[in-house]
Amino acid sequence: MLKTLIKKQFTEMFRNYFYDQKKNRARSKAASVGLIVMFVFLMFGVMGGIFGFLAYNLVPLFSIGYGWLYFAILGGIGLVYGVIGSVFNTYSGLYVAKDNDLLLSMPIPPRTIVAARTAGVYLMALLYSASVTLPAAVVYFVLVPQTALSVVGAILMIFIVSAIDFVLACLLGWVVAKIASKLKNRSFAVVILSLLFFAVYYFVYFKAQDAIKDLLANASQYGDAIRGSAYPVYLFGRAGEGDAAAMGIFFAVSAALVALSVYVLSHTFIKIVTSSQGNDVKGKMKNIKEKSLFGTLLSKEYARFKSSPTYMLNCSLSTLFLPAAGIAVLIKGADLKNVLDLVFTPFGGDLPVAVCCVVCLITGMNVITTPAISLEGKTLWIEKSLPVNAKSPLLAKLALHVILTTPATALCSVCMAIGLGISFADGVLVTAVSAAFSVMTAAFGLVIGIQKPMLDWTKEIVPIKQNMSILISMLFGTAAVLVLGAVYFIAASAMPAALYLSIFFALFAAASAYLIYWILTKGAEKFSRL
Amino acid sequence: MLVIDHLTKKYGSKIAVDDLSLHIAPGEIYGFIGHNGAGKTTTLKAVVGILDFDSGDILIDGKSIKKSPLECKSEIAYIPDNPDIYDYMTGQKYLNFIADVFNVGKAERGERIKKYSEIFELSGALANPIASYSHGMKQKLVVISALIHEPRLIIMDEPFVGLDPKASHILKEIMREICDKGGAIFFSTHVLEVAEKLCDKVAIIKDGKLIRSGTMEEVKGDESLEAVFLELEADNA
Repeated sequence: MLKTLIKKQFTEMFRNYFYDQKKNRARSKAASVGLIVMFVFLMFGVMGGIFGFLAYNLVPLFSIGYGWLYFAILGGIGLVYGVIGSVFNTYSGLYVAKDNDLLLSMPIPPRTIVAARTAGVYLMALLYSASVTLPAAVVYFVLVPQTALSVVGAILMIFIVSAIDFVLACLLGWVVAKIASKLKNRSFAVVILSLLFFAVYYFVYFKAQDAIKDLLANASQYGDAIRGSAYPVYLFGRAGEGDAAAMGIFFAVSAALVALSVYVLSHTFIKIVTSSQGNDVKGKMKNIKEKSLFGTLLSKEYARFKSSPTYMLNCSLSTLFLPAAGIAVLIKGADLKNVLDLVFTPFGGDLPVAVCCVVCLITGMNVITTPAISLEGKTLWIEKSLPVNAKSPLLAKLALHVILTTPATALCSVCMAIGLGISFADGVLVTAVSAAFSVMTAAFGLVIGIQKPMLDWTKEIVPIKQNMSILISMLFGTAAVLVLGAVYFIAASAMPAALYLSIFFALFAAASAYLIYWILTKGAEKFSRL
Repeated sequence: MLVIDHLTKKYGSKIAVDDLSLHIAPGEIYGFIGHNGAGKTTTLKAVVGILDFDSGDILIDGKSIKKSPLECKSEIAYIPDNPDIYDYMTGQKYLNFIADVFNVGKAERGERIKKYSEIFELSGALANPIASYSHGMKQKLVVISALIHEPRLIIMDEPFVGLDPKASHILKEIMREICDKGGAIFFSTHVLEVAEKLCDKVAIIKDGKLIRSGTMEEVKGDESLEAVFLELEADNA
């Protein structure tokens, strides 16, 4: 029974490698093998390479007698990485699994279901943590002289880290489940948390090199401080180095924690899964407001947008990046201007065109309109059955993109123009070209969305991420920016920037007008036939 | 009120609806029955203008759904076989959305939302996200949204599926009230007992072709509708 359930669990986890949800059919063996190879390469080639390089930089710690710090640092990173990688899987796999009801209705003991589910959580924790701890062990084996105990210690470290990850993932998964059921605006909360996570990730990533240098230079100082005030961390590192007592303690503690987690989950499983059904967020009745047809369609589009963290994170990050970039340039404008002058003066180019390219490049990352029609999915019948002209929903989708992007584009352009000391006239042109570009990319995205709708999805990530239309939209934006930049710096740098930008404003505006005309005529006709 | 005139719809080489003609007059509850895949849903979708058809015409109050889709749609409401609605809205927002589209005034919509949500015992859930609704609650919301603009013609595809017995009973009463006031209802169902008790007229479709239609008495005579239906299915096999 347990074997069957574990097989089912792993099949679900790795279903995408064997089954093409978009085409609703099994992948060919070659495609499956290719995807698995790509996954292994990403996990252990790319990520393993990065962490292997980090481990290589930390090897000198052994020569100064602080080898335990090597394992404490890399084990700690493995812990964090493993928890991040597995916590969301815990939430979806354990607490909101779609087949909980089905399994509970069968004569299967809850502890068997929990064991199968937690096997999946452990595998994810192991996969993610091992992308750090495995390269750390390999580097250690290759560059540091070994004894039998040190080999056992390093291997044991891989499993101890994954076991602690498993316990933390179960605990945090429970916290995520609790938060998810209580938060009112959880979509925004998820977006903010995700952005914070990325900000912290990149901050740590960029600071890591300096931190390692600092750590190596002052290893004895940091090492003694940790040993004095955080003895378990020292013991943790010693276990990796092959200290028999430390290995025994950590093995026993982690095994006990795993057993306790499985025991607690087994005894609370039915309560957890039955209480996690549905959404216990209670809303409040609001006063009735009348809206125009366009107003109500636009509100509906906005409601759709803000309901999905996946949609917001994948298709509208520029709405945040544009003002952030603009404000950053306002603050650091003088330093940046010197760099940009150095870069562009040899080409004889003017700064306004370069600034316009940068703003447009960020703007082009917003692809809100592209999956908007596909996201209607099974609800498309509503707008089709209502007395609504097919143009109106399309215009509402276009308007949402423009409202969320164009003001941010304009703000970024104005900030950059001020921060970099661009003349008023050129600043106005940069703003106008960028704004026209944002309308053009919004319209282009919608055209692609109409041409290549994907309405039969079961997971919204499919039309948002695993969709060729998104790639086409982004490529279009990038290609337009390349044309804007390349033509100027290769062939037209002698032309005044103002004239050049005026020409491109006219081109982008004309393209926008044509695309909107297509949407309102052929696009509307095609939409009404979907 | 509703005239289906020689309607034909093909999916590739398969004829889903074959030269179907029906006339639904004001005041009539018209049942549409047939086996799975007979062409009922295709016909209903064509009537409400969400599915294009190959030949024939559909007239609502004399206007063609092909030529004047918006005018036709503003007179009708549609209840699909599956309540796939905007999960990301609350029930109240969804009803307001529909009311906005049909340009229902603030006072009227407030009154109707209150009235129907109380009748269908959904008042307490209207402020909650539709994602938290059960299938039956979604079905009730779709029914309320279909009534909010007081349509003259309601097209329903298996409207009782998912509704509890009380809600089903209320819906049947509302259907009768609408027709008593001069409206009309055209609905599909597999529950022949319901069709027999509720409908003024009935049409039986098989493999896209109309095999019998008329008043309930004309169609079933002294037999039960179930017996007639099974007999016709066997005869046309």
